[in-house]
Amino acid sequence: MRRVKGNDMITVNGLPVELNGSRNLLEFLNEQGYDQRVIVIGLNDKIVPKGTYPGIVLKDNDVLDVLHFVSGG
Amino acid sequence: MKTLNNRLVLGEHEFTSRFILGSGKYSLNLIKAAVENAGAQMITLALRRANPGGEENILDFIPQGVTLLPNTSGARTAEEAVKIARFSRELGCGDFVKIEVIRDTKYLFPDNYETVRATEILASEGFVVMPYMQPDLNVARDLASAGAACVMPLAAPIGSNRGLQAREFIKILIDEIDLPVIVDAGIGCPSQACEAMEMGAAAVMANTAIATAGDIPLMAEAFKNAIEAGRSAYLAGLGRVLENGASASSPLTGFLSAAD
Repeated sequence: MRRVKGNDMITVNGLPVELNGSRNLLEFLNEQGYDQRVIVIGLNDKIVPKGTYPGIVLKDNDVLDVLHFVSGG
Repeated sequence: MKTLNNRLVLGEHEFTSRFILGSGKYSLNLIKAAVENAGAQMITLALRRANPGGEENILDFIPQGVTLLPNTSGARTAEEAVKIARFSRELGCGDFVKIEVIRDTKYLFPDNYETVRATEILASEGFVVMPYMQPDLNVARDLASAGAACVMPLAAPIGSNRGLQAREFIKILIDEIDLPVIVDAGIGCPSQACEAMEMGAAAVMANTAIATAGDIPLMAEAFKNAIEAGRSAYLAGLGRVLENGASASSPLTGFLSAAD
């Protein structure tokens, strides 16, 4: 994805996403419409404890994994 | 009497149900009925990437009070399994984990060596570890030493519905391992689940057999009944089998001969 005006780029679940301005993790997840009751977040390969999202400001090249439970045996 | 201790104990947790239900390959809308008809107190889940937006989530379809058993499906190494388990626990759904480490893509056999390694790490972190394994006595002993809460030998290749193909090897685990032996994978119909329980399995896990049935909730109920019947038969002690000949069940005297 091409950067616009030097905006920060992050990777979310393997796909590039452009950040339109500064965002903390909570703001970003809300903006994307994730149901926070049912997700767990990995940031640069580390688990992010629930409750710490507002204090984490996303930055260029961050790699985010947004995971949840699905059916399985 | 054996029935006094008729609970399945996993770590610090006790269950009266001996049927672990898988949630894969059928509609979320059928999960509640399947769980209820199965009498299941534990259901498996997998962890995957979520899509943005308000998609349906399986947690909203599982009845309250049912213990969640996240699996580590998708893991090819112990390290990947450990990572998945840690993520799952962060979701706040308890300490249980079913370890699945699979590298083989044709038969989907679990990798016993990686499974032992993952068990050792996760047990030391306080997980209740339920490892899916190929039935092998040495590996089962290693899993017990590593802190597993049970062992989960496959009966046949996963999803095959071919039944208790590994019967002899599972029986050895039941006889030799001092942990619950939970038969997982390959059980295709209630009679096979019943047979596993009759020979002393502590529980049965089934998914595909239910998911591919014509009537999912009804098949869940059939499995429940079969597993309970098999457990009762095990506790009762099966009758002996004659090598040869026959043994009359009625007195051998002629119908009126005793009075003649």
